[in-house]
Amino acid sequence: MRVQRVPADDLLVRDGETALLVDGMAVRLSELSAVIYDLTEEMVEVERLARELEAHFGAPKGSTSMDATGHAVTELLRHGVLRSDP
Amino acid sequence: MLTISTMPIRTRTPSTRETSNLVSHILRLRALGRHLEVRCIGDSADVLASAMTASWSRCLSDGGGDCGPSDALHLDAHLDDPGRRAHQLMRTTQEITRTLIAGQAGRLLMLHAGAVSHPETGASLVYVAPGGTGKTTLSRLLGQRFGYLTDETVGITDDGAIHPYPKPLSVRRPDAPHLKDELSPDGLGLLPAPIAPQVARIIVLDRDPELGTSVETEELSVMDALFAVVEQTSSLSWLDRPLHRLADLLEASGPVLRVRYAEASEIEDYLSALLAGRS
Repeated sequence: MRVQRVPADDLLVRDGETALLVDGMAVRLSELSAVIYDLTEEMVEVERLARELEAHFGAPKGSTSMDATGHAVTELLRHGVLRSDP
Repeated sequence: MLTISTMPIRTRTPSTRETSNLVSHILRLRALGRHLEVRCIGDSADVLASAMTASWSRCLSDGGGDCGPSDALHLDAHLDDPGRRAHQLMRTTQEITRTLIAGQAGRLLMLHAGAVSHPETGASLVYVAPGGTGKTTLSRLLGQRFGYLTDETVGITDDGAIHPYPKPLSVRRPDAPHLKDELSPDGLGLLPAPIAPQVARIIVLDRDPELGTSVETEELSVMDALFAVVEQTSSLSWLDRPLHRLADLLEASGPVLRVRYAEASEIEDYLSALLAGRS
């Protein structure tokens, strides 16, 4: 699956935290989600995203990079922050 | 401010009605930084216009001001059965609020909040809360000491100035909770808004009837405050860089406090002191 970020009405960073306004809805991003948002300006394969996140954060504890990335991507898709390839 | 009561004019009979000519009355209001003309129509238009003239006393306008009448917003309010007066008054109040908010979308940062203002300095306390959680009750209490700005919507410019919206206070009837009486701030003896109210402090109300007489306060980080307040904004995404504008306001007037309470009377003195400290 490939994903890409949805253009936001605004993106705010304060004290290391990130907030987005997408389709009139405010979304608070975790550190992981903020990096995913940063990496998805263009369409990107989730597998490649997982590799880049592992390089950034290290391997997740108690999970695989692919599972952790997949979980985060699912949440971001659910909140309308990302869109996936049809 | 304010002289116009109502202006009866003759209108053509609507094609769907059997009656002859209807008399309509135009109320000219100035609120939330906009002019608004409300045309009262129907068999009991005079009853509705009279009630509105009383309850909207703080917003009646002669049509002058920053925004010319050519920019006025328009709204129709219809009343045939005088027994439905209170219901139509409530409904019209809600429609006026919606119309004004739509008219200021993209211009003002609008919060679902009540506000009062120091009568001399204009320093203002904005209390953000969802509907039915105490804004009107608090406005009624604090408005005895400070200038009443609104019990519903606070419109804020990018430099923190507030456009007052001193609408009638919408008070739920104990015996008919679906119906609110629209009470004139003049009739309730609330102090008038000062000339140039500015945001001095923002609080988030969290009413919990289980708390009894205790009051809990908590300082919120900018991001926590933003997410507490953002749900109570209107037309936020119409603004340029909306989250930045909201965060800048919260920082400038911060720290934002979350105030948990049961009854408005328990926090009246605390909030008065809070505002006095920013004046």
